[in-house]
Amino acid sequence: MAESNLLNQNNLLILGIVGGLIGIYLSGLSTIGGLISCLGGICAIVWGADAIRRVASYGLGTGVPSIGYMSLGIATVGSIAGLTAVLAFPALGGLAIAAPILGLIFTMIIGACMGLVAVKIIGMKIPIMVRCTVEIAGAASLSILAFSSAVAGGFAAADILNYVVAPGFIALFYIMNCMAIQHPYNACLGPNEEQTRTLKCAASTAFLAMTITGIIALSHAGVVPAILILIVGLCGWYVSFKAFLKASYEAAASVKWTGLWPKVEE
Amino acid sequence: MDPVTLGVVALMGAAATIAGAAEDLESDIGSQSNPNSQVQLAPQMGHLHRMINKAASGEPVSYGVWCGTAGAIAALAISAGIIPVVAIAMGSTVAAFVHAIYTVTSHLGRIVGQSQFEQPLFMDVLTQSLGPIAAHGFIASFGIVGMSYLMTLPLDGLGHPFPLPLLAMLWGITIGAIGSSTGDVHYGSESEYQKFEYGGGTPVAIQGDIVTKAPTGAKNSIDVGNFCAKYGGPLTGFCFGLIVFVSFWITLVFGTVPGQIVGIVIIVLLILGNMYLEKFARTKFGPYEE
Amino acid sequence: MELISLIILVIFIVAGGVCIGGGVHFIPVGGAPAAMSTATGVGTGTAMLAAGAGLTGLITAASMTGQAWYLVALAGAVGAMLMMGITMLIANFVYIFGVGIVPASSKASIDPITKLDQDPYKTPGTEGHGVPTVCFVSGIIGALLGGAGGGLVYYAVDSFASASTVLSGVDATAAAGLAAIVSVGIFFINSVAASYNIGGTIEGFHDPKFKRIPKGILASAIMSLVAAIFVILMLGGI
Repeated sequence: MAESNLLNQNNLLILGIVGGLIGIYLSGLSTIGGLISCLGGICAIVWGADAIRRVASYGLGTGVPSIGYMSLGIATVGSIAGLTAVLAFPALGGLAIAAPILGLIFTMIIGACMGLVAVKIIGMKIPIMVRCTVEIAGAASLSILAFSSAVAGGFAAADILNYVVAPGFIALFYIMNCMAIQHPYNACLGPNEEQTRTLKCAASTAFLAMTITGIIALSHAGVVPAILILIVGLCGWYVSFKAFLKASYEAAASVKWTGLWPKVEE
Repeated sequence: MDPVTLGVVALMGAAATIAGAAEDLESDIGSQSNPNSQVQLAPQMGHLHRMINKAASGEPVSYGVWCGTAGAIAALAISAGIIPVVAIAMGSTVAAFVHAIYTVTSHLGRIVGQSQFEQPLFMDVLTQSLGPIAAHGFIASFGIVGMSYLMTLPLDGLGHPFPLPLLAMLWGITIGAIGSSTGDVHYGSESEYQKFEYGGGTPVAIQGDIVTKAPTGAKNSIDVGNFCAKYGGPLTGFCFGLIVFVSFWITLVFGTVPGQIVGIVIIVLLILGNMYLEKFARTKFGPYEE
Repeated sequence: MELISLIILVIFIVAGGVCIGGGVHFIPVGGAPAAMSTATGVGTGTAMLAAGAGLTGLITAASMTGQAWYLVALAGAVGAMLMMGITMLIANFVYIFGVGIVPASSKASIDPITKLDQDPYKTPGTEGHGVPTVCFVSGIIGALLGGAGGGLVYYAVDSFASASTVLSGVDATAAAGLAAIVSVGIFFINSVAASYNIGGTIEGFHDPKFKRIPKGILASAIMSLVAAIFVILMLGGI
């Protein structure tokens, strides 16, 4: 698999973590905060999709999606714990500014435990299981935090609990980000799968999730920031979807708008 | 027992029945979930086809996304003062678009991902099936979100503590699990292998040799929908409607604790019913001759 | 918060997680081959069918919010068993009348419950098909454990969250929402860990793969303990 990777996994990791965290930290800005936060979430989703691609190419035995919703489960517990830990433990009050980083670290710790349990106790024979579970969970955590901060207008724990958890939007982010992260590889699976096409698909699913987040952001973030997220999300989706369509047309055996299949020798 | 609540629970069951049937037919037309493994396998075995290959995750996760999206947008619209029916329709419309987009990416992705087997990428297959797929998906998410909304109404015996988007997502995952366990079998075991004799499972040796031709021309995914609408789809709807209705009916009619006992009695009856069904099939069909 | 309530929280989450992880091993799933009537069991994935049943259980358990823990767990178990039972029965209707086959197990030559022989009713070239009685009963046990486990986790997190100072300044509905999403998360962690252990498909408690259950339970216990620690970090109380 390694020879077909045009983009280095470490570069994608840095893109995901740095982009995601910058997005979350700037989410408090007025008007464009939510937009930047969502763009950070997109970086995280693309990183996660690449990590899924690496681990699932070994064959998990349970289908590609399973590791996706497990990682999202890990990420929800870890990220909410990271956000609210400063409220729960007044001694940590000084760390309020580090809440998103804390959420990422918590998630990665649970992810590492899961990876170790899978390899050491269950005995899965995937050498990169631990690293990839940590990466996917981390990406899931950043994407949830980024979209939630965009809706709540910042990453303060009380705001996220009030405007994302209480109305139940957290459930949407759970399942929608799960789909955005695991779908690209699951959809492009096959002997002729290639990294750039899969990641174009990842960008399109991520921008689609951002568009939905834009609609949800109308609930609290205000009309102008929400419309901004919506429009940029739609434009980004259009561009990345076109790119994916073009790449698919070029790589297809043949593209037909009518007729039967060609004859092949059995 | 409040008769109004009972009526609402009956309405929930009806909405669930319609949603369940639409969900299964959509997943048959779109060829989602486990039977899709055969559509995926066919070109490798030299059987090119004109079917949709929609590997948008498993049904549970994908229906969680469509229903979660519809539920979240409906909740938003309801809180903005729009009447619930319209609000749920707005949410389901957005969900139908999301559904259609995911269908396109997975069909393109999977067909192109196996281009070495010369399977052409038929775009007309996609465009002709996209409408029915999105429409059935719309009905399913409308039914599920509508049912979830009814559950949250502040009525005696209802008034579920979960917010609407969360309930819609949970029921979406459940309907996906049910659809892929019941109705999809009709597609996977019968519609895909119609050219083989009725009354047997699919031996490993013929896997991938799916039906690719119809009375006129090539078999397409709409033909699958017509086939499954006769049995698998309605039965899936019946299954989901029954689950939703019974799980609320027991506590509503018999009270909190006795209701659980009635539930256990129903489960025992289900086990006995299954044993009876199994024995019926054994005497009716008999063993396979060597 | 007192130490005793913390210990109870951890015990409930770990017990719930073990029930979920153990329950998944009972659920008869044949994956993609079962959808083609090539293998015995329900034609879907392990974690997915468990999730469908467990989340139905979570919904029925949550409608008992405010009751004692054993009632919440019982309601979860009954909801999950109803979902699993009706689904398997209707699946058999599709197998018998839609596909025209007799439910037959391949892992047991004689059904341990009904004492009926299975091999003559298996289509030649397949690994059995349908949901015979032994698989059906196994599935009901699996749903019982999964639903009760989900209910326990929900009860623990919900009662802990309602009492927590973290949620004192926020909307009252946040406790239920938080408890639900955390339970869903813990449910998926445990059910996927269990399905990794099973490796895709299993017929129920008579399947040789069922012997792997101690490993699955250990994995679930460890992961639930880790999750419980982070739930404490989330809601405070030390």
